Amino acid sequence: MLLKTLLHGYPYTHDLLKSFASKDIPPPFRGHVWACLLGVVENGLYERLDKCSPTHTDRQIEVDIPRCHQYNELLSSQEGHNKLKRLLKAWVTAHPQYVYWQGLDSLTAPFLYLNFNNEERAFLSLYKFIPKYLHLFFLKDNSSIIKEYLVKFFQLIFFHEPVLAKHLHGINFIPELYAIPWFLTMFSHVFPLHKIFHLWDKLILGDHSYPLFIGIAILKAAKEHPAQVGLQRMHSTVQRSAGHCDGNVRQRLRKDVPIHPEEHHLPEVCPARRSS
Amino acid sequence: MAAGDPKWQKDASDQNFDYMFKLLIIGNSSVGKTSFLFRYADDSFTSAFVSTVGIDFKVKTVFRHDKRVKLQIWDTAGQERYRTITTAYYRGAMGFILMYDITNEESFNSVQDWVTQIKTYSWDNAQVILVGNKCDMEDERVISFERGKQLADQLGVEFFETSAKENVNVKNVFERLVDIICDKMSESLDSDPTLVAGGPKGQRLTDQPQGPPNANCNC
Repeated sequence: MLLKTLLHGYPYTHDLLKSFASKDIPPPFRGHVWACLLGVVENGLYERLDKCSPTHTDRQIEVDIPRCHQYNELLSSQEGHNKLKRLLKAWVTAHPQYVYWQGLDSLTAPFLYLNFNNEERAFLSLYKFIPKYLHLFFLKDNSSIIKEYLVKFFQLIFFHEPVLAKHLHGINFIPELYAIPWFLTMFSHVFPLHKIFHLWDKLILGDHSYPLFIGIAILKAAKEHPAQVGLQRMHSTVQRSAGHCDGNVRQRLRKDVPIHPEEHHLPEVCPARRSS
Repeated sequence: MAAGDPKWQKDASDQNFDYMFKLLIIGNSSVGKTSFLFRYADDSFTSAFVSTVGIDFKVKTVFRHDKRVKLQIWDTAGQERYRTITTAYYRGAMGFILMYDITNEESFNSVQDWVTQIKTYSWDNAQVILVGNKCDMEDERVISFERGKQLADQLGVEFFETSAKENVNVKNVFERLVDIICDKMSESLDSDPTLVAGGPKGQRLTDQPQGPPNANCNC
């Protein structure tokens, strides 16, 4: 009841909603609450965007959609496919400076699922989410952006987990090998939907550096696993940690990472923050 | 390999091999690269596959000619945009599985382009096998066996049609590629004896970078 009142009063109640969401987000309201936390104001933008004209990314979108979270009945339905395609095309149209990268489909899927009958809200949530957490990631040439992000990530591992970091470095287990899908899709390509929801409940409350700490939490969870020596072992352990033991990861996050990590955890070495 | 802290030393299963080959699977998006690798490494197939973002790899150890050969097989994202990321891993690869989909003309037409990528970014003596995947989907076939074979002959590489779904020729492709690499290796050892100087048998190969080459890391 309180939540309904808060949602009704948005955007005026934005801060109250935020403190409410930091305790819990009830699943039936998740789509709406996320949108508010991301600062979405429905403004008719989505309706005006061209979602139909053929473009050269259509083929890629078409081969990716039937591979995107298809265990979910809504997303594997024909209607789900149509909606996802419209959302992706609209996003590409709205951002002439960016391009479609494989993974954008996974990133869109949680918003679509939660706002299945409100495409505009799904779109605007994605529209607000990307600049906050994935600033410049979808540039046509994003190699320097990704590289910078992964270097930052590795610096943070070294700061928080020096022994683990030294080991990872020694076996050449660099973030390029496992962390690109983590960050390029904000973990939506590595977790199933029901896990993404809980992770993003926290992510959306945090700032743009929060994903880096989720990454560290996954590595820490993997570290606790005994058999983690050697490149291949490490790889499968981290995959497992990312794929299955998310309870463990969440626990780690709760323990180690406050909602505003920059206040407590960011060391001096952390490169200048992007303005967003 | 950095020696590192003794407690982090590699365990036996990581070290237990005579050779290590790094192989890459490349080809257009959705031709079945990931399914092919899963079939080979895990003997499993699911039609609920997901796209590959960036890169992924699996390791499998096989016995060839009384030698334990550890294969480190890299699976790459097919979308063209990912090439700046994926081509960084071409260096040091000893074999490539270049894959197209027999039900998709475009993927076949891109083969030449992929060959150019290999020539540009990999070692000169990297071995290539051309693979036409999804041969179980006979009804939807648009590339005949002959066209595939002809292209392979033109490129001077071997050719297989495979099905990851029905497990047709998957193992054969890997075995053949391992054999070709072994042959090539002994050839170059014969022609250039300096390569065998120093170090026990095969160790030269195991010294190759296990991850991507450090040269890619500007940090």
